[in-house]
Amino acid sequence: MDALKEWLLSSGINLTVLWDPIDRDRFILGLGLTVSLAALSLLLSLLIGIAGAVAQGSRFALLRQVTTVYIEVFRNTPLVIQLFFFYFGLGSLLPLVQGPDGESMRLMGNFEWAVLVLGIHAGAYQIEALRGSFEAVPRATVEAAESLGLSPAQVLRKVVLPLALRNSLPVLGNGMAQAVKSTSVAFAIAVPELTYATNRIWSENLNVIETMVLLFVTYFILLGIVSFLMRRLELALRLPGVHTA
Amino acid sequence: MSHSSTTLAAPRERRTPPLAGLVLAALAIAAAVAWHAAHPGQAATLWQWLPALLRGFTVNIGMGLGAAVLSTLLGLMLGIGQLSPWQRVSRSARWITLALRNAPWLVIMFAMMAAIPFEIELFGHYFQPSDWAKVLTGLALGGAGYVSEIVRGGLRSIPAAQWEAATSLALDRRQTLTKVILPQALRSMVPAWMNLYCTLTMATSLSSLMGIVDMMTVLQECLAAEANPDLLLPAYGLVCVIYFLYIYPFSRWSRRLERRWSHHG
Repeated sequence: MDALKEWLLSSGINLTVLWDPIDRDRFILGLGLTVSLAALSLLLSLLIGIAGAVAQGSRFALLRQVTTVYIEVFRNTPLVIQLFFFYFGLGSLLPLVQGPDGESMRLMGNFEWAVLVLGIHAGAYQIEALRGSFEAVPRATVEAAESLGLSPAQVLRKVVLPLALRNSLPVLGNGMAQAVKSTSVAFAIAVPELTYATNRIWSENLNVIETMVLLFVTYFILLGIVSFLMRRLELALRLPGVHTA
Repeated sequence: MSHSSTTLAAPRERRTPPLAGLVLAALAIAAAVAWHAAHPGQAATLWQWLPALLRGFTVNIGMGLGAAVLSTLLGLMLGIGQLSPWQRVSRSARWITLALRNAPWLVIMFAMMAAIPFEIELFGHYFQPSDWAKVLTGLALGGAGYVSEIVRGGLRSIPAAQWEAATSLALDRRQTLTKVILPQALRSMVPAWMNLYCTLTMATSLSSLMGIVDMMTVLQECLAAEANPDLLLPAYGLVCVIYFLYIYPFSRWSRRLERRWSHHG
């Protein structure tokens, strides 16, 4: 490590993340927060997406209206402002609770708000994406399931969902990539994820270029992993005869 | 992917029912009235801020337009480049597009703030690019990655027969692209492009994190001066409403075009 440090420094590359323990911990914490923010908000957005897609196919006009209003509001306003609205606006209305070290704190911290808002925001997009996949399930398949005596709930759970979720894999991949990228906006409410962590590092060490390149490469690799996993998943879940390779 | 041709439950007409708008408006008004009853005097404060906020919003609109134009130019080059017969060109255009699409816009904006020097010499003239221009460039680069894919998809959607027909009329590649393929591809590209415009305009709100005085910054200055935490919720709500009123018509329009053109296209 020392040799590497000497060599990098002598080439003018001050990549403190490699040898400064404080910067290294910040970076690793940031990476962990980015990944968990992305995973949790994606999960939330998928739940919202499935519920919303079902609601939009519902017989009740009011349910469809409410879903549409939700989609339009969250798709047509900026994510940062949603984040501020929830974190500062609603967050200030939350009750104070005793924190672990005895000091009083809000019921939800910035990480929890970020998960919630990123999830709700992405959910509005997932509904549209999942709806298309639901509609692509052949009518005849649903009728066949009904004629076998399955209840509507069973048809949904055992026939429509498995097919619809498979149909949605390509769109889901997009959603995952978007989820990883959106986490950087949590910078705005000081969640120490990758962007925030590296921003701290480069403003303290004045090694903007090296650290920024590292940041770009990290996101690039994260998204590469996402698309690799999605391709594997698509192959693993492929139904012969339904999906062509 | 190939599915059987019959689809589930005759896809309900995707027209957004006007009722949804009414429900939304009713909800918003009800919330505003309830809040006003609980916190009198706030409405007047927000009303006072409105002119300054809207002046700030012109910065966002201007940046959005500038970024849209710049990203369209860059994206057109990248998108056409992706389909270039020269492998070296197509491969580098593909990689640049991928790199731009794989980076969060906020990070690209930070990178441009750091990478664009404080002074640029161009043809013997010295320019000092403002922070505004740097952030705009960052946004435009992020947008260019998307335009590149929109253009590639649009061009690919034109049947190969059109290329062959143009070639047989002795048009060269450039003429084929500008006179035959692009005009036809434009139709399928416009709705996606308008979506991108909406996304870019909304993303300009990130510029306040970089010290640009946009609507958000103005709002935060107002809030700091007032120092009344009860104002936070309605104030951020107001900014959301302003964005919504500007963006929503565009996104409706884009969806209408998409629906109209997807049937015979």
